[in-house]
Amino acid sequence: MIRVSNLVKSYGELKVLDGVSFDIEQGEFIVIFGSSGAGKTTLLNILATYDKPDEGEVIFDRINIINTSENSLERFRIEKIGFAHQSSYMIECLPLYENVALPLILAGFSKQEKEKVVAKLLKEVGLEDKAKNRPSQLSLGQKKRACIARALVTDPRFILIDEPTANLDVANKERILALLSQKQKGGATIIVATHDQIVTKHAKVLELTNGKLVPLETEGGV
Amino acid sequence: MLKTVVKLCFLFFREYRLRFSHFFKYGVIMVLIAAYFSVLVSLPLVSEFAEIRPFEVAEFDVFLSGPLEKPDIERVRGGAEAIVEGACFGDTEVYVKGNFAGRINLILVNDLQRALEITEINERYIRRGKVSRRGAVIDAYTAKKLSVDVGNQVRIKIKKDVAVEYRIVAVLFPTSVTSGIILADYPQEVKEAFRPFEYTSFWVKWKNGVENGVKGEGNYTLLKRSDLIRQQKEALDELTHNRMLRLLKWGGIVALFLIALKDIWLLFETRKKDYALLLGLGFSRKSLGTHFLAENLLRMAVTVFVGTLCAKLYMQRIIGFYYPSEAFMESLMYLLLVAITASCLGSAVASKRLRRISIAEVLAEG
Repeated sequence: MIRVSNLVKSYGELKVLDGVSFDIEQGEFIVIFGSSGAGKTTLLNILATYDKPDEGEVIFDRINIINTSENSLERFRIEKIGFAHQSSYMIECLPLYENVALPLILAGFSKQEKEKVVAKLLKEVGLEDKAKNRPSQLSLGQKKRACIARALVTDPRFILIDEPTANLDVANKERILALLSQKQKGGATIIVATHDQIVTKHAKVLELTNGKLVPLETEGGV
Repeated sequence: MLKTVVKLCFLFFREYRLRFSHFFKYGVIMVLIAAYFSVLVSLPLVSEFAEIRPFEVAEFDVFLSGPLEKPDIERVRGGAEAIVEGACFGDTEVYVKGNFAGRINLILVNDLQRALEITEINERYIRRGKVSRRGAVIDAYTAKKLSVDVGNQVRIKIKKDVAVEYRIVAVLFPTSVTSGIILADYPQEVKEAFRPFEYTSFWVKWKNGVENGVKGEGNYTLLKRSDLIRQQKEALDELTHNRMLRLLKWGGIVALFLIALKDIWLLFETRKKDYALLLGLGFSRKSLGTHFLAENLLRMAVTVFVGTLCAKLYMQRIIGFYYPSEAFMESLMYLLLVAITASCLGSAVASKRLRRISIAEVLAEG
């Protein structure tokens, strides 16, 4: 379970998050919806432990990640979080396969296990024929899918994805959403930030506007 | 953590192929500076002045070293029982004679070990070949000029229709001791063959009743020799204690240190986003810092080693001087010290930056 209480984050004068609070149960699929610049990425960065809020707490399974030491956060990131950042950044000198397999170095997978898991995921995101390509040889959409595969590779309990459908065509959007739904059915908690209406059809939607998070009623969700 | 660091080293090794021009540019600059420093360090040691020392050969009264003008030679001859252009021992004679060019051309010996001892040519100046083998020793310069090496036969034309063949058993680097000397065994024909050359050094045994020099001229030859040694020692002192040389040497060290730091810092700036990503994936700051330090230590160590090796090759293969192992070790020690200091300092600053890095901000850059 994730409990977020009274989260405040400002960049200078600009208050991006202004007392954001919400609870997410294990196995839920949440979409944080909002226009560009609403603070979705900031909220996801805080949930993924990439950034610290000015105030408030974030509790993952009874652990308050805001007050946790850096060492504990490192373990937390390996064991529980799978995060696909908005930038879809990948290490340029490594081929796609190695980029996706990076989290497995820490997870202690054997070479055979690693090959099996990565090959399966690359197939699921439709990049099995690009495994040896370097990031510069991939399109933005392919990079996005690769980063989602990297976030899912350790089969984490909490999956956070920023703009999962950015730069994707309709078929690939469906493919990614189906993959996320499959992970949700497997028990993972999924939080995605997006401004894409298609994604909101698949999950419970919370809208971030003026620094506040409010439930939004959609076709598929609440 | 060690496993993670090693794995990271392997992963980032691919970057060297990808960003070859960057690594090559800085690598070459650092190798050149390291080589420059190594050459400067070795100068006093490889200098021909460095080998000046008194010549003590029991069988002869004096050893004269050139350049001597013709009148000098005539005066010495007047007082000498024999101008033995060489050292004699037992039944075997080794012929020592200078040549006008001021370099060794050829050493032909029956017993190289003995010949080296008697001429005080240190064994370490022998590049290759086994001592105590009969054959010819050739100097590096002449070998290069004639395109011959150890194992080759050299044919020496001693008269119009007479030639003798010798197998080269060693290559010798010129020093003050060796320069201007031809060592040869003593067939008369060979001696005759070298007659056209002017002397630059030779052994002299005085005639009975003549002490310390040419008859009637007191200590002339000894004084001349003492003067020569003194002058060369002064030149050596000037060279080794020269302020400009010291400045150039330490300037090289400072330049290497600054370029190494710049290279390390540029590498960190390039990798910053990669490291932010790895931190986000759960890699510890400690393991990333350790990886960065290990990589830089390895890189700098290889660079200075290659630089020192280049200096050795340059001195030996191109200049033609023996590069003493003492100089190699000394320059390598200094350069490694600089490389380790620069790596540790650069990596410490990088680690500090890594500790304060905001993953979200860095990933959002660019």
